[in-house]
Amino acid sequence: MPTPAEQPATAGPDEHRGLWRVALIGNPNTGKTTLFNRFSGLRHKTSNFPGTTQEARIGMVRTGDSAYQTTEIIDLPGIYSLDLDMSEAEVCRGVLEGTLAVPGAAVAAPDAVCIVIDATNLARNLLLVGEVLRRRLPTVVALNMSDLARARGLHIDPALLEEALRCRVIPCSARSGEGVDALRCELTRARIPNHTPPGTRDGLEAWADDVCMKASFATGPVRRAGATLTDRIDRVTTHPVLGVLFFAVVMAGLFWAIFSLARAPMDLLDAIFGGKSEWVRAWQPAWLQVLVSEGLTGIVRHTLPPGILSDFLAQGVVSGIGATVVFLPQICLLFFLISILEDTGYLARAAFVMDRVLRPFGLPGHSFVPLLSSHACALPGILACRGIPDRRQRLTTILVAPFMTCSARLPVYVLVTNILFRDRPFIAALAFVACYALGIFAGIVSALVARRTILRGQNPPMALELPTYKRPSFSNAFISMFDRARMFLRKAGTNILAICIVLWWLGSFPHVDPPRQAVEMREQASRAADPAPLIDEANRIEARNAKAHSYIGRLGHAAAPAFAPIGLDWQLTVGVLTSFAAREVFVSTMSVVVAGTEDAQAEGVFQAISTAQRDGGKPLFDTATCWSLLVFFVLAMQCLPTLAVTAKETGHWKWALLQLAWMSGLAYTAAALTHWALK
Amino acid sequence: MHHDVSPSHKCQEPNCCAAPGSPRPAVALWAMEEGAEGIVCETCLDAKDAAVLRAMGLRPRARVRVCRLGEPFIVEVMASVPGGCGCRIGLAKALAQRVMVGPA
Repeated sequence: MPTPAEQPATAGPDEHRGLWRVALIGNPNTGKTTLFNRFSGLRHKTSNFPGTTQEARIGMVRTGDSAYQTTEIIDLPGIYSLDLDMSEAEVCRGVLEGTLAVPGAAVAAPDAVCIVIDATNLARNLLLVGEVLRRRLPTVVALNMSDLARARGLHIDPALLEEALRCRVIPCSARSGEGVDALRCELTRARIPNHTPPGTRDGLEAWADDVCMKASFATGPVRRAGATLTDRIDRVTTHPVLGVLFFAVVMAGLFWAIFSLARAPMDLLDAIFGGKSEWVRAWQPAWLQVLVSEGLTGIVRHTLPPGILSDFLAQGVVSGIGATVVFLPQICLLFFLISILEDTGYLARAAFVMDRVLRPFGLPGHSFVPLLSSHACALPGILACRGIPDRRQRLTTILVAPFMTCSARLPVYVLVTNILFRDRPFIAALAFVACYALGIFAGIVSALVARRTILRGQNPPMALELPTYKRPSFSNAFISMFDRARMFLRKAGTNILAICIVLWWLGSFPHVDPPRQAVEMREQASRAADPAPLIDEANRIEARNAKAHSYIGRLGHAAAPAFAPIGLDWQLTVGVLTSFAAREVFVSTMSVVVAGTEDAQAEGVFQAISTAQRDGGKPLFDTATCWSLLVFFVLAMQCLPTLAVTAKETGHWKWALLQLAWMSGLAYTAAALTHWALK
Repeated sequence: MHHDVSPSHKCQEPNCCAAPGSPRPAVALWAMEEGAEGIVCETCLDAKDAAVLRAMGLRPRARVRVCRLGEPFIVEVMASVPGGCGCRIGLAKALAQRVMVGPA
């Protein structure tokens, strides 16, 4: 029950939206996110606070209260103190003061604040409670991990704590769900506490100790649960040698999962959009097989009459969406596993292990996970940089993340290494590894250059709270995965789709008359007993001719002199230009330009590409060109969605342009040197 | 900027457990042995780092136990009242060298 000293809330429900808005605030590792997930599940949206990289999750909660049926919860970043000079604290201050809101929300102070505190570490958590109470907002305190405190022999009397804080205190356990319903009901009943803790740090600390002393006591000898076990595990996970080995094993498992477990769903998605997966064809019912064997592209082509609309939907829209969605399984797995690792408490230790490795290059240990994520795709890698506390180090990591070999580069590596070492798979594999190594090397050297020049500054020494090891929450991991997947599709899908549509237009127009050779072939086919091969060949010749005379083909001819130093003729230049939408487009473009079909897996297409000739009769893919192409694709920034996300996450397009200029310049120079050395 | 400190640096905080004249001088956290306990006297850090450590629980008069030597230097901040459980904090060497601790 509310104490008599409490005053009614002066703040009312948001009249414009008819909602009761509650800000969820707390120290890191207090189970705030787990509680938020308990409240809202998947019914939430994620966005950034304007001008910051700080993320806000907003969830809707049904409180069951007759006055306010729905409550909006804002999950604020975890902070130790509102007074710290850190972006997380700045965001929390802005929200509580009513000067900051996520886009689309009213800029006003929240109707109430729910402070999540860790019952097993009461004294420190009360410091933040004191800071919030001084803001005189309707407040309710969630005494989380009460079950854990009980298990450790610690008793906290909620009534005594309420009396000391002059606000409602609800014991709960976000992990087990105990007390969460009671807390949900209290969210709309929060009152302004009639109590103002001291304003000085010394005074606040003494106040917190005093409150803690009054409200908590040990019911017996307090067990420091897991302290000894945690000590023992930490000796391994943070050991200079064993820690690195352990980390390597964990990361190898993560890599394996991303590239192996994601393969089947990726094949499935590929089949759905492009109809290229043989095993999917095998199990589909016959009536569906016809459509699925050609994917959504086939469905569009079967449904609509041939023409511009059909081409636009099949090649521009469906292919554009497919190019993005096919990476979704990898993104989902990556964030699911990272969330699991974070929940166990291991990631904080891993950050220290990698700090020793990355610090000489001006990067903190926090950078490792974003850089690792970038090996699947740079987009989630850049999004993961939000966890890097120091602004300069965060910017540096964002700038160098696209150097890591992402999945989109793999088709190009496969094509070129197969041309170079067709009957020598072991050497081809070594070349593959060398590409990965070159990307990592270029990334860390670029980071060093950035930290010594434009992003010069001290490397702040690390101080991290190391949570005790615990069993991870799979529901939390699932919600985190869902959140990131939605963000990925929204940010990347829209950009890449728009770019693919533009590229489709550039590659499809203007329409040109079919060449004489193709016309004659069709005439021969009309008289032949078996016309299929002739018609196929005529189609290929027409496709090559159309691509050569399209806007992108003309652009390729015009830009070819600029790419001549790295050994590219107009055909390869077209491939490189189209790959700025997405790197893997290079392979299908070369299939069209050289072989006249988009299906790079089609029989004879690889042969056609590998033996293709330049206009002068020289081989298109000579050794020097293959190596320079590999170097170029390892180092070049050829991903417009990544540039868009860089601009968004850094808050300015200048960083995206710098990233483009630096990576492209480095790629061009290195590829030109490679071509010159091997020519 | 960080100050240069020596392991036997004298704590200047008034009434500190290891102020000049006290029987034992304060030492840097970095110089303590594994399993040793002590009371934090002060931090010879710039204001920002000191504020972060203080907010995390490494504040004057906090009782600490050294869990692991080296980098990260892991220290357990013990609860200030009976029954509390405290927390574990990993510190870089540069920080652990500048947190001064007196006898428990």
